[in-house]
Amino acid sequence: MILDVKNVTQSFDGQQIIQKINLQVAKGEIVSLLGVSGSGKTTLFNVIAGLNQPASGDVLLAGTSILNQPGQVSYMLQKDLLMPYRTVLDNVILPLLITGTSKKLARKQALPFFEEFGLTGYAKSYPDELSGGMRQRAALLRTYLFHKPVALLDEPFSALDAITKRALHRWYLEIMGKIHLSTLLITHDIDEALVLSNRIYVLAQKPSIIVDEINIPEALHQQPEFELSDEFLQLKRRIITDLNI
Amino acid sequence: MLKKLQSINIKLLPVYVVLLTILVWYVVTATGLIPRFFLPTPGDVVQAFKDDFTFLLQNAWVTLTEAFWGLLLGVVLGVSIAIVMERFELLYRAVYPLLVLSQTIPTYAIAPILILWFGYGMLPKILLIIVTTFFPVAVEMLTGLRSADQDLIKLMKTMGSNRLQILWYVKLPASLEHFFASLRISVSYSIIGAVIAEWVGGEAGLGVYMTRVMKVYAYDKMFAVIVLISFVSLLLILIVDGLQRLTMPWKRGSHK
Ligand SMILES: Nc1ncnc2c1ncn2[C@@H]1O[C@H](COP(=O)(O)OP(=O)(O)OP(=O)(O)O)[C@@H](O)[C@H]1O
Ligand SMILES: [Mg+2]
Repeated sequence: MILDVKNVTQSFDGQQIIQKINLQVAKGEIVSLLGVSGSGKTTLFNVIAGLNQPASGDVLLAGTSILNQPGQVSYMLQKDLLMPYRTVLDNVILPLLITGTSKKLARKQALPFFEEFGLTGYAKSYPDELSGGMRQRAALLRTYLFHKPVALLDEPFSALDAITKRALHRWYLEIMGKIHLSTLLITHDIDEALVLSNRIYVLAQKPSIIVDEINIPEALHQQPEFELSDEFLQLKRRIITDLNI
Repeated sequence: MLKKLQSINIKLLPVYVVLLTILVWYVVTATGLIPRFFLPTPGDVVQAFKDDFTFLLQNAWVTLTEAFWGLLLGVVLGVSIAIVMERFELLYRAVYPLLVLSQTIPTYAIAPILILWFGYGMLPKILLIIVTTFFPVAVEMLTGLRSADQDLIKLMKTMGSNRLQILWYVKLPASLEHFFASLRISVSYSIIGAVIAEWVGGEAGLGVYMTRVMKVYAYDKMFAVIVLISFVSLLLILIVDGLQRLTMPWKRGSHK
């Protein structure tokens, strides 16, 4: 297991938000964390990212604890957070600059990825000039360039319209097939979780616990029109029951 | 097309106002409605400007030098104070109210004291300009630094960045607009400060020139120097605007 979240409990102002969360991400795996708004998904991410100390529990990265240690995992926050005052290129190289790479070298390292991330020709543009989908791809590239063993993505596609979202899902799966980034992804979109993940953890109840863990065999993803299949609907029904909605 | 024409006209409106003012000025003075020794004609002023051109420029150079150093040091001081106060909350609470209170002292009123202490040279002028310019810069910069997006700071932290990197990549860019707003104010303050300090006592500069021509009731020269000072201030503000456009290219629209 590259990422191992062990019994993490977090409370704010004496109120428990998440309770005894256990989850794992294996190398190269895309794992989704599914839960309704306010269920504490971002809260858990902040603990994994070392921004907040949990009330109890531990987070292991490749076997060693990373509690309270920011900078160990790549984290894409719920907003794209592109700096309006930096060009797209200078935005995506930010993690490289922070970790001490020179600007010149960082730019050289980042540019070859622009085609893959659908940003060709926009290196010198400012984020204002990008469409919603492009902004998300730029934010993803920035996250990827942090080069950490695990990426946390907090609702990376939720701000997009349905059509753009679908296109981006395809693109995402394709690129993941190439870069094999171990990913923990937050979503509250059941279809998205099913389409993108190898595994899904369902978060529910108050305080939130993991109520279900769903494996999606690779064979299902390979199946043409998986999204329209009976298996897909069955899994969807199971999740809806889990969430009690 | 009509809309475009209108927008050009609106942009030119201030120019029309200036031209109209000069016209009225010319009419009331040339017709003798206002006596010439009281208010010189535009032509007189231009002539006075021509006559004393080199001398005026020499004095302007002195005033500009004082303004430059005072402004530079005032801005550096203001920015530094803002950064330190933003970093240390306790210091902010202790010093900020005093800083605001200190601004109720009319800073120009301390010019005579500075002249008494530091003589007729450039030093007291530069000091006065520092005292008058650092404050708007400090206050605006502080507002700017504190306006930085907390989520951006969070993002920076997830990348493992230190305080200095957060300052450089997030907080300073967040305060650029505030900085230039305060710089525009401080630039005018610096010229006014230099001139006022020169009135109180000095060997050269536009303020000294003003007091000299005033003593001999040379109104045309008075007006010439006032026009020059306004012109210089305007030029400096345009330079600040240009600087702002250079440092904030993302505000200029499409770049592809
Ligand atoms: N720093 C904090 N202090 C106090 N309460 C907090 C804090 N952070 C989060 N909470 C509370 O914890 C709960 C879970 O918030 P969280 O942001 O983790 O939810 P989420 O699952 O990410 O929701 P969404 O899908 O809307 O992003 C919310 O009720 C929120 O008000
Ligand atoms: Mg959230």
